[in-house]
Amino acid sequence: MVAMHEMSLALSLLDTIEKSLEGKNVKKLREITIEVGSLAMVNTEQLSFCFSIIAKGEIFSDMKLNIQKKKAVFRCISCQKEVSSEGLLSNCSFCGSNMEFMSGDELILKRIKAEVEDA
Amino acid sequence: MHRVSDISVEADIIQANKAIAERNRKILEDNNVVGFDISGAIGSGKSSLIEEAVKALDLRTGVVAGDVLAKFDAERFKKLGVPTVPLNTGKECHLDAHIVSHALEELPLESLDVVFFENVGNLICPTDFDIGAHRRIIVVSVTEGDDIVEKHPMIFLKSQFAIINKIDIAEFVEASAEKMAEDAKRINPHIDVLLTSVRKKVNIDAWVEYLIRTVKEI
Repeated sequence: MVAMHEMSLALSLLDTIEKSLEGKNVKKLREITIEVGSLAMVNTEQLSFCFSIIAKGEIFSDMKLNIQKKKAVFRCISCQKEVSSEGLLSNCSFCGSNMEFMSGDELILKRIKAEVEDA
Repeated sequence: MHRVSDISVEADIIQANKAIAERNRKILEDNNVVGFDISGAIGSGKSSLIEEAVKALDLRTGVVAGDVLAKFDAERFKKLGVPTVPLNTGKECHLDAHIVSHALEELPLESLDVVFFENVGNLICPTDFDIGAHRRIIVVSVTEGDDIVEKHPMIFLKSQFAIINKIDIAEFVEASAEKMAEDAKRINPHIDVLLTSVRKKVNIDAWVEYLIRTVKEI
């Protein structure tokens, strides 16, 4: 077991991929695209490294892991304006009030590009 | 023959953990138990705050003590005579819903009102992992430096209650507990913040009152 939560996430990613491929007759994976919120507590390099350790077998041999970053979204608690940001936003740039965190901590498996065997 | 296919998935990778967390919450609720995830920095006073709550609450409490080596904290809770499950996380840096689900199996939930889940001392890794508690309480102390809150904003965003502990020694470590409280409110306007000292018994009654209020709410 590796002492970081990226390994837990890599295992969950592998599990999610395997579930998505069930019954699809996939021979080889070409590209996996995941989206990481800019405020997810994820070190993407460590995630890639952990995934490369656990994703073994012919199906993963030429696979590319494509990691897309997505900005976080905050909403002002007074004027309700929404602003996207790479980092944390505390004060509204329009009225100065506090901002509420809306999204940006997600880790989503978006797409799988795969070689599928014809039936 | 094969063809290249683009499969659109849009699946939440942490969903597996979330699903188990929901199941844990349901198990607690089926037994009329309220769960508190006590997360926070190493040495910030998580165990001491739980001890104070266990002693003061007129409710039946149980504790899940998560740590890299959990026996030390677990011994403290067992001395108070409450059901305690030590959870050794080994090299893992956080509790996740799966490991907590096994701890729930070992607790006599039908004869409890409240369970405290003491998370591993860490302000980063537990952030993404809902364990199935009803509230997350984040504990830091002045000894970590009064910039500790702004350095770890995400865990404050994902918590409902924050405790700044050891305020009795703030001046000796040249930290401002008030600044830490302001930082927490700035990061998360919805969070409630309490300044405490377990050693000098400052605001321990308010900590217990918060727990009683929350138990009634849920």
